[in-house]
Amino acid sequence: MSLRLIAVAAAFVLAATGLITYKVVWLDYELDPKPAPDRWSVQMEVRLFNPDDSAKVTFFMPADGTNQRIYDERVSAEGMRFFIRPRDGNRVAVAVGKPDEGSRLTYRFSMQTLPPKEGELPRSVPPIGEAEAKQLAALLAPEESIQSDAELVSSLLEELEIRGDDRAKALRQIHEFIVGDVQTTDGHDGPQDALAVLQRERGGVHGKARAEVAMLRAVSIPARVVAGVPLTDGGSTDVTYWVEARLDGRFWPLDPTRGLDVAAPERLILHQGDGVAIDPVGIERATLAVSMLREREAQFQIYQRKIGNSDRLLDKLSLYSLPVKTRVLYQVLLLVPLGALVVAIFRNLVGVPTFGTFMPILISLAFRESGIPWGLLLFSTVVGIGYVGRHLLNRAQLLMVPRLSFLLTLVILIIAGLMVLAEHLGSNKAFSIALFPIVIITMTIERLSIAIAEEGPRNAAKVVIGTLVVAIFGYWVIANDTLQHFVFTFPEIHLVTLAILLLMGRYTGYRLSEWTRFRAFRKGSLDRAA
Amino acid sequence: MFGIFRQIAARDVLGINARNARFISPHNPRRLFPLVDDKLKTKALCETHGIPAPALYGVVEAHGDLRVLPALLAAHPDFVIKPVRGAMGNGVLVVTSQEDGAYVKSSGVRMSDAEVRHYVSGILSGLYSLAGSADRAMIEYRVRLHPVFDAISFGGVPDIRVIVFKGVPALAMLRLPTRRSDGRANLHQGAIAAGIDLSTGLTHHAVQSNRLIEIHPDTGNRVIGVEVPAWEEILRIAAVSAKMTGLGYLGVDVVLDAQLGPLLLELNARPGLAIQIANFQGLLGPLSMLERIDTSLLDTDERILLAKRVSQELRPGSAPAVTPPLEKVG
Repeated sequence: MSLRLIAVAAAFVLAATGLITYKVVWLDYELDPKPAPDRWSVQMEVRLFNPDDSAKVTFFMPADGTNQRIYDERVSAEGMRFFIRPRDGNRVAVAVGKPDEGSRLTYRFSMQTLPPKEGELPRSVPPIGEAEAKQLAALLAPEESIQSDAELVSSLLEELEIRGDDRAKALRQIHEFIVGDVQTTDGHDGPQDALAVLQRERGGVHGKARAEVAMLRAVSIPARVVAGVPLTDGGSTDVTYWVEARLDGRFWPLDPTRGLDVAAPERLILHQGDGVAIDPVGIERATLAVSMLREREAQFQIYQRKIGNSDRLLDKLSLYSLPVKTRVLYQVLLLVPLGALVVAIFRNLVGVPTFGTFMPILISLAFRESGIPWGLLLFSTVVGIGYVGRHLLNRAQLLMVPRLSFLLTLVILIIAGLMVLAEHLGSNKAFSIALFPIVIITMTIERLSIAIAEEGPRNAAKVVIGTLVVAIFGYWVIANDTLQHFVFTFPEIHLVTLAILLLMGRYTGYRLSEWTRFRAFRKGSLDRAA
Repeated sequence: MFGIFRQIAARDVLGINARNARFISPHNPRRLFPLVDDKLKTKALCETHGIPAPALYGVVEAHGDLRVLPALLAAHPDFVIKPVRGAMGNGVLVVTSQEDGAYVKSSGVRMSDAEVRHYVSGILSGLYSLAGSADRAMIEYRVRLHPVFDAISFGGVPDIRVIVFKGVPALAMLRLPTRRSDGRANLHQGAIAAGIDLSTGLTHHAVQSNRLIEIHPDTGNRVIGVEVPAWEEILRIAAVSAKMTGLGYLGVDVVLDAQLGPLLLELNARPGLAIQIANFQGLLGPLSMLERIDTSLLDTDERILLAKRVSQELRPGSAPAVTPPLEKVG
């Protein structure tokens, strides 16, 4: 290897290290950015079973509030008309129409949780003033399922010696009673109104929340039931309920299953005030599922804002100054060189045979959308069916260009068929195959059939497996979020990629595959044929 | 780089990376590749340099020429059709005779006029060409199996591959078709490769699919100790081919015709490495010796002499005695 080449490679590496060091030390770029803690992507999915011709489903949608901001909302209603209406300070979604069996309404949005207000629950609060009682009358009055005026409630308060002259003390006593003395069930143990729960001294979360609100209202503490879902990364949960009590001019969250000293998890608030999360009319059954994911992209947005407002030259020249659409494209494109590096390593150092030089990378890019197991399955299904088609086509003895065009059409039809099939099986991975490089698949099928005919199925299988192995390794590189962020923030790292490729281009040592190919020379003699 | 390659390196085995970076890149200028990738250009070169090659019957340039194909073929009872820019013997059709308007392939299968035309049109579309681009088809003389090889090949004609470096033959092997290779001389399909001693023209070592072999599995005759006929002429063809193309690192494929003797079949600017297994000898041995010698002023005879001396130095043991071929079995 020539010294000049090594010098150039070393210069590349030095330049990259220099730039990265400068950016980290002087410009405060982060090498390993922390995920945004307070941003979530949430999906609410309503499924309708056995709907009538005039079905109507109403469900609560989260709204902006003191605890959360909702943005980037998208709705897909599958043929139903969709409205958003305000109701008592909440938002409800109303979908009307003729849905099909198993239809889905999906509502996706992003949310940011806002930090809770500082402060401790006051030690002592006097009875409620007249003005406040008037203003908050709705939060003090009995409701259908919150029977705060029932005799049982007042006798229970008496029995527990809870009085409204110190409302802070009363609140603590009531909460202690609900958490400690009312058993928590799954909510299927009978009616879940406040009175029934207090009579049985057990109930589900919703029932316990109602019971607590009823008792709070009975001692003139304005209170309401709140519905929401706990936020867990990558989780999917049912709707849960808790209580908000107003003391000292603000609302305090109270979880009817946890003591006051246990911190509540981060939650998305669906609606405030009592109500059912979903109300289907003319539909036998409707289910609501909420799933969520912590957003990672947010870090890009923070950087974008930070760097967009900067006057420094390097910030201005950074990729963050690109418009969002271009940026998203470059986030992916900048990883392709690393994929190419993987191919170079596999082909020149390991000696894995592949169809074409960059075909494995194109396959990895396609796998990005579907993930490995699905990607592999879809890829082999399409190529497999296509190969059979190509084999049958062989008899027709078509000229090459019409034959390839025929094959291309066939591939598109196979993909369309698979998408429809996957949709009916309820898989959301279906759309991802549409992103498979169709021309690449066509050429794969063509080359595969020629390889099988000319070099035998064994050799062809080797090349197919080689291609897929390299594609899987390429996928690990290309689908890596941390790597993506790093390369996008420090694109100069590709000077190192170039340096590696330069050196690898002059590597004249053996390939790993030659260790087996020339094993005879290793052993000192060839195996004798049987 | 790894210790695991120590023994392989000690045997002077040439790897693909080293072949590309150390021999092909510096010794084979890219602009000369068309001379060997295009078989018509090679044939024209052969003519001007007095190298014997199979006679060219005709060329199908475009789909429009397909109409005159039957008339062209009618003049020759047997022939070979191959892509002008094909590689590794892909896309070669051998017709041994014509019977009642049908063409009989070497395998005995009959092909109709339409089938042959479709086949040729596949060649024209670039099905077998190196880059998949449009190609031409050439029709040429069918080589007759030489009697010496009749006993040790099955279903096809063997060929001789000589690796020539800086105009000097470095290593040679004889490729023998078998039933498994379907009559083709392709090693990865199961043809036998026999290393040839450069100084004597005797096969000294043979492998089939990486396994040592002494007897042809289909004919039962010994493949070791066979004397390749017209060996001096084959060496001359190899040495002159290198000179006429200007390629420093070249694979020369020669076939032996029963009547015409050695004929240059094709040249390869990126010859494979399996020849090392056939000879059980690494290419780096002769190549690194020749790397240090200036061969540019040597004439053909001097280069052949040099090739023999290098070979004797690296393979001092005497070659096995010539064994008379047995009656052909099967």
